[in-house]
Amino acid sequence: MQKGYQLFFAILAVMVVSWLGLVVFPQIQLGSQSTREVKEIGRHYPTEPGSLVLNGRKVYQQAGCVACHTQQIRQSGYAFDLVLNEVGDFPEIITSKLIEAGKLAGIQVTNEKAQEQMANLPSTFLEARSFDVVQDVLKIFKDSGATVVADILPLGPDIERGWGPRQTVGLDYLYHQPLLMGQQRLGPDLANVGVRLNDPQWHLKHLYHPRSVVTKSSMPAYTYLFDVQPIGEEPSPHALALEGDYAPEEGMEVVPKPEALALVDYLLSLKIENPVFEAPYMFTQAEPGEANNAKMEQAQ
Amino acid sequence: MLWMTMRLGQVKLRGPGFLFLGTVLWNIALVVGIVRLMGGSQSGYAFLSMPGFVYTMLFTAYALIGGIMLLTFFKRQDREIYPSQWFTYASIYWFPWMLTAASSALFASEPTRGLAQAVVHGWYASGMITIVLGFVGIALLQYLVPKLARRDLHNSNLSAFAFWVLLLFGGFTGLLQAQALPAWVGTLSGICNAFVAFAWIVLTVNLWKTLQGTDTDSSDPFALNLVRLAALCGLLGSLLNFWGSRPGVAETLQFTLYLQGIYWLQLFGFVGTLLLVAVYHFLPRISDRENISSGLFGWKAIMVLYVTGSILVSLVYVLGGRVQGTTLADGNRSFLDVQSATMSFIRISTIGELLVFLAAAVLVINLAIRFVSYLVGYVVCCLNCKNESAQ
Repeated sequence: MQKGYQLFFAILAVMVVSWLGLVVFPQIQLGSQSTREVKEIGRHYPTEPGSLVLNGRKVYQQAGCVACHTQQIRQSGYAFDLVLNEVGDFPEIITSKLIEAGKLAGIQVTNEKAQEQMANLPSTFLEARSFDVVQDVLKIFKDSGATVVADILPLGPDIERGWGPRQTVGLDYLYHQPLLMGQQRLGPDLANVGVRLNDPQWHLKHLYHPRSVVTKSSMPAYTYLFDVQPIGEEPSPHALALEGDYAPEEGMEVVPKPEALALVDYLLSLKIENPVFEAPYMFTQAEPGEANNAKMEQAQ
Repeated sequence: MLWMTMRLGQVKLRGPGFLFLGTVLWNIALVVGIVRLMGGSQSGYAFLSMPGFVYTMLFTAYALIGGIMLLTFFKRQDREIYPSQWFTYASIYWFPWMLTAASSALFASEPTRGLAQAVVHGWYASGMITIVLGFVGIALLQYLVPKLARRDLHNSNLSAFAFWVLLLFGGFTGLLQAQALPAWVGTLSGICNAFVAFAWIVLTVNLWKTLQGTDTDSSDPFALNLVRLAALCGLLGSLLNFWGSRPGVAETLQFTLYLQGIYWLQLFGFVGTLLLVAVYHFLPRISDRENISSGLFGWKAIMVLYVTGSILVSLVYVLGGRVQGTTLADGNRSFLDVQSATMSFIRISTIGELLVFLAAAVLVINLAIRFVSYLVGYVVCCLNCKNESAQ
């Protein structure tokens, strides 16, 4: 090869193709997304974050949390629960249909068991079945008068571990600027941390000294986000309730700086709590806060 | 790269003043960027982590450096363009275009929104590793092997084939599957990784054929062995990247140390080693001093420490990533289990990182000694000249 300009134009052409393919085209495909109404929650999703959350995101960026935590839940597939909601006018037929459905799914359903299921409606008569089985079973119940529905169950280790109810999709990241999805899991995934760990005090303690709440945590302590100060006339309302080795000296208290409070606000804003068209699942109302708090240590 | 441009083109450097200015500006931009990073101003994008304005400074500096390189190239006396030059020029052209496109998409007043940011960042990261830095390494490989082995490259057509395959497909790699991205992105990335691995096999065969039976002829067997090792790291990196991007495997290895291990293989094991060998090869020729390799702070010590450290970190991360991925894929195991399975690998990798740090420290001492001896020599020379003129 002798012509420098030929080389130049060839390289330029390849570069332009690569740029069109991975910068321009994704921008057309993904960049035009907008909020969408989700009927299960009765409002548009996602919502724009408030200023405190945005400040918290900045602290998250500065502290380098993205180096160890991801914000993306993966899903390997779906399974389905089959639920009998109504029996209809022909219970004898439905009994035989339930027995037949059991045979299709490879389980033995006795006459008594079928009767019991019909007596306790709604009743889940098949659990975690594949799409093919579900289709075949639904065919059996067609025109039988009974109402049978299939509940969608997302599958995958992240979901089994309790990190979220479904996989994350493009829509979840609409207001993530910059996008802090992360590439490495040296710490747990945080995409849904605002739902599964929803106690601000727990997060503040965790940031001040991770091992004060998670015994074997390898996360570094972010003590610079807190002030250790003498207790004034009255203790600060934000002071951390630390115990044992992590408690401050007598007469002192650990008070979070505004950056720590903003960071916790940001963490609590990270929620995947409703289905979307691309990632459906059987939606139920969130559990009360107390129940979630009890699960905190386990979820870590 | 400039040395290669001048040597292969048989031409003198054009505009050294602009080059100096560009280099100074580049280093200022880097120092500013690192200081801001340490102050907490991270952008959040792993491969563009410095604040946005630093990239404008880097681009300006690079325009001066790259411009001088191109000017020197176009003024070359030897009109033939050698394989190492193809890779050099692709790297020179690609970097500013890619930097401009990615930084304007991510840091502009109306930046790319949502998930599209991940694709732009992934495109930039794969371009940096496979094309910009990867091509610098391959250019050095194609230059150093014939020089050290004292024979011509086995087949330049094989080099040309590898060049075009890497250029065509290298820019689409590095976006692992199973993210929340559209499925086509991961599939495209996996296919392109296969092409890149194939191009690397072709490159390796060409170099292997060139090196066959040259052990006794080599001008510097130590440097040649390091070049071999670097080439092996490059090949292994591309093969592991391909293996890790296959459906079924990608899902397990995603979010693990495995990807970091490949980065270490490609950037430190391959490109870094070749850059060190290049300086080791060029420095005596530039400074007219033969003895740079011996002694406690010599180049051999630096390179042995560096290569050992880099390869140790790479392999430990790759193995650790596999273990981490397998544990992560088991939903019945708690995350603390995943952490404890990974922690021993991270501890071992620290030894490797310490060796690389030690190599860098020895390099600084070496350069300081060299600089002081140069200054002393310069002063002595000036004094001698003064005495002679006085006599």
